[in-house]
Amino acid sequence: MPDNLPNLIYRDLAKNASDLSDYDLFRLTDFIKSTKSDFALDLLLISFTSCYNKYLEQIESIETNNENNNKNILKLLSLRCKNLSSILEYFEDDNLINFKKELMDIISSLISNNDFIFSQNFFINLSKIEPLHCLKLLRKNKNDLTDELSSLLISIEEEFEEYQHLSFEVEEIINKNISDFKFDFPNFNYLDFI
Amino acid sequence: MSQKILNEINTEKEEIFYFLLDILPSVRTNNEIAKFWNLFKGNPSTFHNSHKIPNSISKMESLVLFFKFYQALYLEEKNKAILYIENFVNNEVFDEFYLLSVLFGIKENLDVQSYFEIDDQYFSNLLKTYYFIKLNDFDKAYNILIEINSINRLSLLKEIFYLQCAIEKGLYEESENIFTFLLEINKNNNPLKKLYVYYLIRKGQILEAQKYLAKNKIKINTIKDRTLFLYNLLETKQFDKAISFLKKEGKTDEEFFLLARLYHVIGLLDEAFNIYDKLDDTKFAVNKMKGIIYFQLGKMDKALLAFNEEISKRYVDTDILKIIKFLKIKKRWNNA
Repeated sequence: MPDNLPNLIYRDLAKNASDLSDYDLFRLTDFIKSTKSDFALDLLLISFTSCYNKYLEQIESIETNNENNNKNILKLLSLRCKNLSSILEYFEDDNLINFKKELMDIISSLISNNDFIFSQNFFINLSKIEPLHCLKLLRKNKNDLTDELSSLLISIEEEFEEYQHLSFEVEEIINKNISDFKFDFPNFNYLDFI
Repeated sequence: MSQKILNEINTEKEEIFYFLLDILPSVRTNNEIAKFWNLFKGNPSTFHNSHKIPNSISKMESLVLFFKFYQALYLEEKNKAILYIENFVNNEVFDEFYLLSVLFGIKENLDVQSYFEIDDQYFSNLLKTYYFIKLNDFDKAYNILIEINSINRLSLLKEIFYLQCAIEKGLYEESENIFTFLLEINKNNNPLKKLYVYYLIRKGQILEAQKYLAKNKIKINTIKDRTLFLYNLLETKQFDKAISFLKKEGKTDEEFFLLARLYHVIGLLDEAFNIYDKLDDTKFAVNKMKGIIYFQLGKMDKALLAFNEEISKRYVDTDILKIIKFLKIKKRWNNA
């Protein structure tokens, strides 16, 4: 693989992330980490989806064929999914906001398959821009959460409480500042009125 | 009692002194002074130009010195004003016009303390009394006044100082008695009426003060008069009247800021914003108020900018810090 590839080739590589050699995947993720753009985030999500879909296929194949060989591939894909999701932390909130919908879709899919372990980094990063959405989902699945997700739920709940408290407090501050005239009445004396 | 005190005013100097202090309505012995003072008081810069000093005045050297002092004081030539007081001292003249000059010096915050100590203990105590009244130290002022209680000179001025102490010390019955007496012999005395309005406000009788102002058709001229009038309107929540008044009579930035605050409180946000926008944002909390307007209009990014501007240009306000923290969190919790 040459050093600088056209964007379309990176996209193709991402789509086939599950089948790439470790070295090529390293080159791809290195590009994503160093670029940290919307395009890089898009590549990351495509790569994750590729690996995760393959991971699901492997599970299905193991369940139907009970092939031991597939279990090693499953381990590899599981590791790739975890590693790829950890790269999310390289991105700024602005990038995450532009891919809010995609992040939510991936989380929904992971939850529906009970794959909370892969969802951790998605929740952590989505909570930076959509804490309320995360709060609702985490509360709904409270009993199935990993330890890390349970801690995340606690911290989001605390922040939500602080937000609600601040919301009331700020409303009072705003109203007080509008209506509170500090019109100090000074001491006057007879000569002041001459 | 009033007749007794009036009878005590038996020198021309004393009569002019009272006239210049606006305590008595007219000078019986010298109408030229009345005419001259009325012109000069309104425009002290004309002293050397169009309005020649009447002969009867120019003969009274210390009165002329007072007029020169007054002119320098109101043209804000403070050092010059002090020099005129020095002239009194050099000429060893410590009469009513010396007293008057130092009183006006205290009123306008000149550094005149060294001129209090004169041989005339009575005048000296009157000056110290007024000095402590200016410093809002009414106990000291009262004690100094008590020392000269038995001396019957310039009794009207002494009464006014005593009244001032009584008002601030909450001796309302005594204040009322002195007002009755002073208003009896000063029926048309505007400053005294304003002091009565002030007294009513100090007593917390805002509605009475309002009625008294309206009933007596008291003219509102200076910033202090306007403060008195506005305080009444604001305390009685007559914001619409306060707005009309400030639109017509407002002259200082402080008054325009108040006008903007009033527009703000009744919901005229554009009008409030336009005034906030024109005022010095290092002197007034206009960025804070602009931030609040943006907040009310849901323009949170602009609100955040305005609040940050406020704390960078003025001082850190815990209220603003809370709002800034909230706005940052709100961005993320927008749908909550």
